[in-house]
Amino acid sequence: MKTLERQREKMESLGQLAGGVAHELNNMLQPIFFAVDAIQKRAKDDDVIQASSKKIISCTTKAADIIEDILAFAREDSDHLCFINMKETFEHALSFSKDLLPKTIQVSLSPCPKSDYWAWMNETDMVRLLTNLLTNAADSMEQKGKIDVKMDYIFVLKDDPNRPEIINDVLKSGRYACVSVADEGRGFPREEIERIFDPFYTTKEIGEGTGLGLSIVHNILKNWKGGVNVSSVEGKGTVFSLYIPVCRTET
Amino acid sequence: MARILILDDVMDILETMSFLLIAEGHGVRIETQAQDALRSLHATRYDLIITDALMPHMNGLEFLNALREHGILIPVIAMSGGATDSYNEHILGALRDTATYFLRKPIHPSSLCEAVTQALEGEKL
Repeated sequence: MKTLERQREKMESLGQLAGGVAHELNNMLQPIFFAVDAIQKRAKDDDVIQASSKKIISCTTKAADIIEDILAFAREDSDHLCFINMKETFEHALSFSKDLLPKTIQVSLSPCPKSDYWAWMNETDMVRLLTNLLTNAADSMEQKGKIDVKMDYIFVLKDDPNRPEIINDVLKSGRYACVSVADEGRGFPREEIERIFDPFYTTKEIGEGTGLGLSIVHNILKNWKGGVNVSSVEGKGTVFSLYIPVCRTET
Repeated sequence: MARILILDDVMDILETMSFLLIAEGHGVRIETQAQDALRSLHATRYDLIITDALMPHMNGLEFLNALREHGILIPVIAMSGGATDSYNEHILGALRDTATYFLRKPIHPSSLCEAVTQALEGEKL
């Protein structure tokens, strides 16, 4: 319990730090964009200057994208939340996110329950959640294989001994949508599970990932008053379960 | 040609942005402090203000309110490198609603030129 509390405090202060760093870095990137533009305009006939300028712009743009990820992680209150239909939002976000995967990855969606529930969230972040999880799953399977995705509604009773620690510690009693993303990839070593939601945690090669994806997932769910649980067996695969509070209220 | 006042606490941004706007044919004055910018605005007529959002002493929202209180009703382009906490997030939200344009740093030069042109055309209408 105390470990999780400390973990949350650590994440919050890291969030503030990351927000501050991102703000400063954007201020540093800005003059680069403007100065390169001035150089490009003054040396229109110089191929080397034009090619070098394009390189500077593309690297600066990549740096700006990484900072955008850092800000998404740091943001306490992202886009406006509203009551939206859970099933529709999930299905729509999934169809968008899975289009970003290579054709060698098969995404299999179990039929969603018919019952209608509403959640206090936003679709942009739902897309971000699923994109992060699907991309990670595809990476861990070296871009080939099957990802099983499921959405169900469950009732969480606080302190239910059959539920994982996260459920008892983070979620209140009530009804939740449980979205699970299961892959058959390399999985995480047991000793690393606690660290995977830490900012900048990555198993990818340098330059291939920022290590912010899962901390963004954690923060989005925290913002929605939900939670995320992970179970993983090294060499067999990983299942991420997202818990999103839902109710029967309509718009 | 328009007369543009730029306010930002980062001198490198002021200098490079003024290179860009001068090359576009505009007259530019740069200020690092909101109070100095207000004094300049009283002394000279400007067509457009470009201001940072999060600055020490007076933030972009307070600056915008001070402009309105002083009866300065020219278009304003606000810009920011992102919020560092929920209070600043609130300031950025309010600026998005009140400024003529709101741009996220780093701003691409062509996006700035476009916003400047549109803000100035809006003023002429």
